[in-house]
Parts: sequence; C-alpha cells; structure tokens
Amino acid sequence: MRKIAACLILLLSFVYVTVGEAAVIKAYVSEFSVTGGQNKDELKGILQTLLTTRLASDAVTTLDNKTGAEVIVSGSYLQIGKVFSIDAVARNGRGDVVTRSFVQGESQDELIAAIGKLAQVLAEGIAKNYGLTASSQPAATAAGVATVPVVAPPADIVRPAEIQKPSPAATSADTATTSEIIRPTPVVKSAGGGWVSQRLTGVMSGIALGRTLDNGEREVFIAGNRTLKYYRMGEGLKLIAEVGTSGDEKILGVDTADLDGDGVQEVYLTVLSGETLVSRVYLADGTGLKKIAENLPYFMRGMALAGGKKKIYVQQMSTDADFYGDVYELVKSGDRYEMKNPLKLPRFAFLYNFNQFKDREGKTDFVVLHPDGYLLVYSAARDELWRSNDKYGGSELYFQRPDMSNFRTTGDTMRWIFLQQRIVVTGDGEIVVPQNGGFWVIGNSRSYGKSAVVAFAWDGSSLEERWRTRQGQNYLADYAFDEARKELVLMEVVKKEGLLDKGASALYIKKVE
Amino acid sequence: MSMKKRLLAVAAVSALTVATAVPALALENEFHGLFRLRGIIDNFNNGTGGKFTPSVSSPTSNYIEQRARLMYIAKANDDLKLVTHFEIDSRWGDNSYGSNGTTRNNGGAIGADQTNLETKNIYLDFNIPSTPLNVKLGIQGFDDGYKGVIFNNDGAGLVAKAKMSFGSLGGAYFRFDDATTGTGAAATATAPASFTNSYLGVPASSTTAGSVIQNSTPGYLTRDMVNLNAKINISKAVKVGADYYLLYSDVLRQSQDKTAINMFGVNAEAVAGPVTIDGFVLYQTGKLGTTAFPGNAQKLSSLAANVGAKAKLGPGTLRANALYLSGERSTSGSTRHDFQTIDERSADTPAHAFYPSEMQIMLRNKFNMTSDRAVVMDLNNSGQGLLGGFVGYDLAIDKFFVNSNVGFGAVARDTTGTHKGDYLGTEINTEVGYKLFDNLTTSVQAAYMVLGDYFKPASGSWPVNPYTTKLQVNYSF
Repeated sequence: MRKIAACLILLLSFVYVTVGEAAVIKAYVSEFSVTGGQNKDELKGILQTLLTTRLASDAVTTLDNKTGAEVIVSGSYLQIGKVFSIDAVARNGRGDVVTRSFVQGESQDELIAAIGKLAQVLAEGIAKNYGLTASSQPAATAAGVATVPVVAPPADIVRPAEIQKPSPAATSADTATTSEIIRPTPVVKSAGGGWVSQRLTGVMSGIALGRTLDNGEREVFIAGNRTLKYYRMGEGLKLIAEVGTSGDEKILGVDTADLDGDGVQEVYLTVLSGETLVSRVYLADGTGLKKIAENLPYFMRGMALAGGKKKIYVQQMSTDADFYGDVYELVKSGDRYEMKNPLKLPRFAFLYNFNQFKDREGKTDFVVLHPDGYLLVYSAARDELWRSNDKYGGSELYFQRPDMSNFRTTGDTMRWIFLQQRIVVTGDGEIVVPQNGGFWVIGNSRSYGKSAVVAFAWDGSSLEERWRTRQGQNYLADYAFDEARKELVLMEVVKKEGLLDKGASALYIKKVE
Repeated sequence: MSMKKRLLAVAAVSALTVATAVPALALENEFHGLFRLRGIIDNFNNGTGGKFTPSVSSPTSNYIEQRARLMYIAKANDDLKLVTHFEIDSRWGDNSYGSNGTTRNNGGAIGADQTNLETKNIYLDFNIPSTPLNVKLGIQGFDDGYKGVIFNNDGAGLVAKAKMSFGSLGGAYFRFDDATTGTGAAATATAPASFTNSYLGVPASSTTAGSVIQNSTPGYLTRDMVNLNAKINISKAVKVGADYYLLYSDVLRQSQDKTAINMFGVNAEAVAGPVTIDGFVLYQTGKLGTTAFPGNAQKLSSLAANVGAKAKLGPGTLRANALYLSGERSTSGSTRHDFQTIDERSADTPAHAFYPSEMQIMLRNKFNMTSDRAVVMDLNNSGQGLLGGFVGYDLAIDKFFVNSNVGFGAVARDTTGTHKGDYLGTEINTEVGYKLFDNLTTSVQAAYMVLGDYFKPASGSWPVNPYTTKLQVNYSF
C-alpha cells in the first residue's frame, strides 16, 4: 500500500512538474483602436473582450491586466462601408513583434467568426514564435513568418493598404493621416463629448449659420414651421430676435449668404402661403431681424456647389410642377433680386436634393438624393454613373398643394411634397450627406428616429465612405457644416410634436477632427 | 408559322427583352392608404347611394360608416412599377358572415367577419426607355382634365402621356363594358335593366330596359372611350389644354343604333398674382342610339362650360365656380341638346362628378363613401342639365380650418315642363376641423338646402328641406 501511495505521489509530482514546464505564455489584449463604423466606443471594449477570451489556448493564457504579461496584443479595427478589417500584432516585453495577422469581413455578421479565426492564428503564432523572439531572434523574421497565415481570402475584399485616395481634392483632406487612408481617429466625439444647446421648445426644421463675431460667438438662425429665431451661440444659445409668419404661411427653409458682398450675411427664408411662394430676406444687425425683401416667388437654398463659394440658388413653382424649370442662381442687384445662370439638373434632381463635386479630371459631376433615398452620381453630361445600395437623406419637412384630380385615388385633397436633406460638398471634395432612419416611413407618414452624418469621396467609380458620425437617437431636421472650424452643427428634433405637445429640438455640435 | 403565332412569338421575345433589360435592383415597396369614418345624422342619407328626391316625409337617419383603402406599389426600378389598390367599406351594424347574401360594403355587424375586400386598381406604370413616354396599363383611375364632368372614376384601359418641352401630349383608351361580361347578359339573352341607354351614357329618362343581347362574343358588344389630349405651358403661370373624346357604345346594337359621341374640349388655367382662374368648354356632337329611334339615331349637339377662380382674401382663400351643362326640353326629338354623361352600369351611379362645387346635398361631395347621394346625382340631371354657381371660403389657422360654401342650382331646361320653376335651391354648408396629426383630421360638417320652385308642389305641402350633419375622421398616408 505504501508503495502504491508513493508511486501515486511520484506520478502526481511528475505531472505537476510537466505542466509547470509547458511554459504557457501569458498574454494581455489591450483596447482596440476603431476607425469607421458606428458605436466606436463600445466596439473598442467588445473587440478586446472577444479576442481575450478566444486567444486563450493550451499554449497561451490571457490576463486581465498587463501585469505579468509576456506578450501584449494590440489591435485595430477599420471599417469602410460594410467591409471591415481587424489587424493585430503581438509583441514581447521588449517590444519585438512576435506575430501579427489580420482578418477581414464583408459585414458585421462575420465579425465574431473573424475574431475567432484571428485568435487562432495569433495563438499559433505566439506559441511558435515567442521562444524565438525571447532568444533574440530578429523580429523581422518572426513577423515574416506570421504574415503567411492570411485568414480571409484577399481577392474579393478591399485591404486598407489597397485603398486609393479618391481624388486630388480628397487627397488634401488626408494630409493629417500617415499610414492609413481613412482617418485613424473617429471623426466625432461621443454624444457626451460634443456641445449641446439648451432644449428648444417646438419642432424646428431648418438651421443656418451667420457671422462669427469677434468674441468667438456665432450667429445662428433656426426656423420652425411658422417662426424664425435669431440666436447667438456661445456657451449656450441666446435668443436675439424672433419673427413669425401669419395665416397659412409655412416656412420651408432658412439659409444665409452674403450676396451683395458687404460682409454681412443675409438670411433667406423660403415661405409658402397656400400655393404661392412668398419668400423673404432678412438682415441680422446684431439686435434684430430687418426684412429687406418679401414676396419672392422662389424656393431658396444656400449651397456651395462643388465646394465653391456659397450662394443662394432658387427654383420656381408653376401651376402644374412643384419645382418648375431649371435651378437658378439668385443675384442681388441693389435692392432687387433676380435669377441668373440657369443650371439644368439631371433626372430626379431638384433644388433641395443635389450638389456638385469635381472629379479627378476636374469635371463637375452631380450628386443627387433619389426620391427613394439612394445616393446617385451623375456625370457632367447628366448620365447616371453610380447609385448607393444604402439609403440616405430623409426629411419630415413637406408642403402641400391641392390635388383634386387624384382625390379619388388618394382620398386626400392635398398632394404631399417632401423636401430633402441638404448635401454639402467641402472644399476638400468630401460629400457630406445626412442619413435619417429608424422608426418607419410609409407613404406620407414619416417618422425618423435615428440619424447620422456620412462623408464620402468620389474615387472615380463610386462614392467611398470616409467618415460618419455616431448614430444619434434623434431625427436630424437640418444641419450646417462650419468648414472653417471643422464642425457639424446639427439641428435635431429631440421630442416629436404631439396632440397637446409642441415637441422640442436641440442643437448639437460635433467636431470633425 | 401563322401570323398570329408570329405575333405571339414577337410579343414574348419583346417581353423577355424588356424584362432582362431591367437593371437587377431590389424591389422597392411603397404603401399608401386611407381610413375615413363618418357619423351621419340627417334626413338626406339612407345608408346607400343614389339620387335624392325631396319629399314631404323625410325620416331622420343616424348611422356610422367607414372606409379603408390600402395601396401597395411594387417598384421594380425607376421606370417600372405595379400599382395595386384595395378598398373595404362597411356601415356599422350592417352585416357579417355574408348573411345578407352580399359581400362588398359589408362587415360592420357583430362578428364582423365578411368577405368584403374590393380591388380598386391594378395597373402597370412604366416609362418607355429613351422616350419621354409614360404608360399606365390596367385598371386605374382617370383624370379627365375637365374637373370630372366627363369621367372621374376607375376603369380598365391604357393611358399614355409624353412630356414635351412645351407641355405634354397624351392619349387614353378605356373599355368601360363588354356586354358578355354583364350580369345575366349571356345567360338570359336579355339585357338587364341596367343595360339601358343610361348605361351607354344617355340620361336615365330615356332608358328602356329589356333590350335583347344575342351575341356573347367578347368584344362584340362594348362601350369604349378614347381620348387624345395636348397641354401647352405658355408660361409657368399659364397653361392651356385641348382634348378630343370619343364615347362609343354598341352594347345594344341589336336593338338600336350605335352611340358615338365626339367631344371637343379646351381648358385653361392662369395665375395672376394672388388670383388663379381656370375653366373649360366642352362641345358634344355625334349620334345617340336610343330605342325610341331604331335605325335612326338622334343627333347630338350639347355643351358644358365652367369658369372657376380662387384668390387669397384676408387670412383665407375665396373660391368660386360656375357650371353650365346644357339640357333638353324634349328628349324625343331628332336632335338632343342635353350634355351626355357617363354612368356606371346602374343608371343612377354616375362615373363623373363636379367636386369643386364643394356641395354636400345638391351635388356629390368628394368625401362621400357608400352613402353617396345628391339632389343632382347625374349631372345630366335627367336631360335637364344644370346651371350652378358656387362660392366658398377656406380659412386655415395653424391646425384649425373652416371651409364654408354656398351654392345655387337650377335646371338648364325643364324637360317635363311641369315644374313651377327651374330653380333647384340654395345650399349652405360648412366644415370645421382640426388636424390632430399631420395625417389625421377630424371635422364636423353640416349642410342645409332650401328647396327652390322646381320642387314646389302643384298643391299640398312642400317637400322637407334636406339637411345633413356629419362627424368625420380622416386618416391618409
């Protein structure tokens, strides 16, 4: 019996010693850096956790902190459109590369499986190479070995290194970047990090920026269905003046531009009264709003076509057509306004859903929001070049016109005409487009509940997503892009209008870093 | 291969070519719909439709009816979509489980279950590639361009429209009826009562039921409408249009002459500052087959005219419309002067209307559902025509609105000559409403009509003046 016990003790001792001598490598997975995509902050931690749990194997054990770790694994997550790439590198205590690898996927559905594959490759690489690097083998050798096991097939997916800068204009937008084309830092701060105004009573529909004052404050003009408010934006929003409309007048848009070149931006307010456009122009003098023109028969929108100088463009309404004829540039001559320089638009385009940009050859192409929400690109010859698969834009702002000829079909005496979100083209050639989504859109009933702002660049063949804001939980009614400050000023509806409730809006500023 | 087979082969290949040429995009789904409920208390409606004849005894009705419409549009791409449209009507308490032997306009009784879904429209809407031509093909609604006095209903047909630099060119063809599809026509070899002249577009006063139909070949006995139109935009504020309509019917060809009505019309609309003026003139000529003149159709020479205006006035909008449809003192003469209208198969179910009048009693109202009644239901007005003037004022302040109207009507010609006057009466009505949500409106409607000398009795008591009150909830999306 003693002999048997002694054998067992010896056997256990042998096993213990054997396990102890297996040299399990202690690894720590640090927080990922995330570029592109949505919910970036959450993704950093999620990716870290996923890889930590999946990296553990017979040869590698993972720790919850760096203390005692022999290998530090750091990773980056990059998303371009729906395609993502996860790159990871494992380094020893001296900083030498033990192994590195990457995986790619074409949608978020493949994310967890990709992490599993990446963990497997990394664990094998660590187990195989850690001893070599620990014995002062050249790191390059280890890295060279590690780059062999490519998990995802490289032929049908875009690798970050393969991404070409879309255009010379867009290239200048990337001067701040080094090895990566897409900006490594998330473009906007998290919801808690940006500037938020006080809650504004009422559902607001339009916003335009005015002057930046010497003290750094900015003039902001915010429009609701029946009101125009003149604010000064500093620490908060300070109401300077307010004007309203009367009767059945409805405000359809507010824009600013300095058409007479006097250094003061005029405020252009599109107003519809029944079926008649009675738009007006105000001058904000610091203390109030002075009306300098009225009953202008135009829809008006301020745009910097192809990233050029911001001007006011107009379109008319006819007895039949809601948006009649070409778009014109509004020119101020003394106290009079007149239309000049007609611009013929491509199919589906009207005043409120288009902009232009320069392609590689310097030609001026059109970008248009389709009535169904798709983003379209037309050549200078008005030929369709590309359309998105995802939907963008989306506005709850509409006006109505009598439509008795279709009453039997629609059951509605009015025809609903929805406006569209503005498309901003920056001087760097980036195309900024809002993306409202969420609740539901059926027929004339629209109720958006989520929003983001997305920037694209034209690569000669298609629009490539360059950055996007984190998705917010509000309907984005309108926005302005302060290119000088690299800030998005977002007008969001934080509470919908109810039966006895006017709803509420708020202004958000998000820094485009 | 026979010629017919060749044509079929070419058609099949063409269809395949079109189908494969369509870009492979995901189907885009679009939904629209309507729900309308009306609670009615009056001495005018009776839960069904039809012409209202004032009488000395008009009981008060009270009931609630509702209508739902659902439209689904399947967009294959930017140039091709299928439009479908369905309707469900019920009167609260009317019937369930099909127990009254009918299906449509039922299902509001306890238990509710009822087969009552009606197909209103099904048509293809497509653009011909590389042309400005749009085509709508199938069962669809139609806008006649003349405020509905010709044809304002659904039908099976083809509507084509080409946008031109100056405006548009268009054409339409509708097959209103094919006698072999008429209820009882083939089985009994005798036309049902509705297969009368009124069914052909001739007033009910000249109807003769029981005409014989002896041919059941599809397409042999038909009623058709053809339209050619042009619209010219003289400026963004002025447009004019011209139309030719042919109404053709040989449904009763075996008992009377064919009907072929040629209609020539012009219409215009102009905006001058805050005032919009529009109007039209229609002239009808051709021949009218009636059983009164077998082998010798009546000649036709009739007229319809309208002028309308609306203008901003104070905080609201002032509207005015005048309508004239010629009448005929004697419908038995060799030439008829009463303006011919299009009815459905039932003689008293018009396929036309004049909704801009905004009347609730005198003429059909746009919100009418199953309870679709009017003093002048068919604008032909039994051959007497109509002379009417209508003035209204619409006021909208934020979510509140008030629409008020007054209308004056008279027959253009008293066919029988037995009435004490031509004046039908004066209607005043109003609608006060509130927009609960963008798509949901609730309103109270009320109307009262003071009957004119046309209804003055030779002796005894006057008929009771009709009135109506309604509470309406309307949701559309």
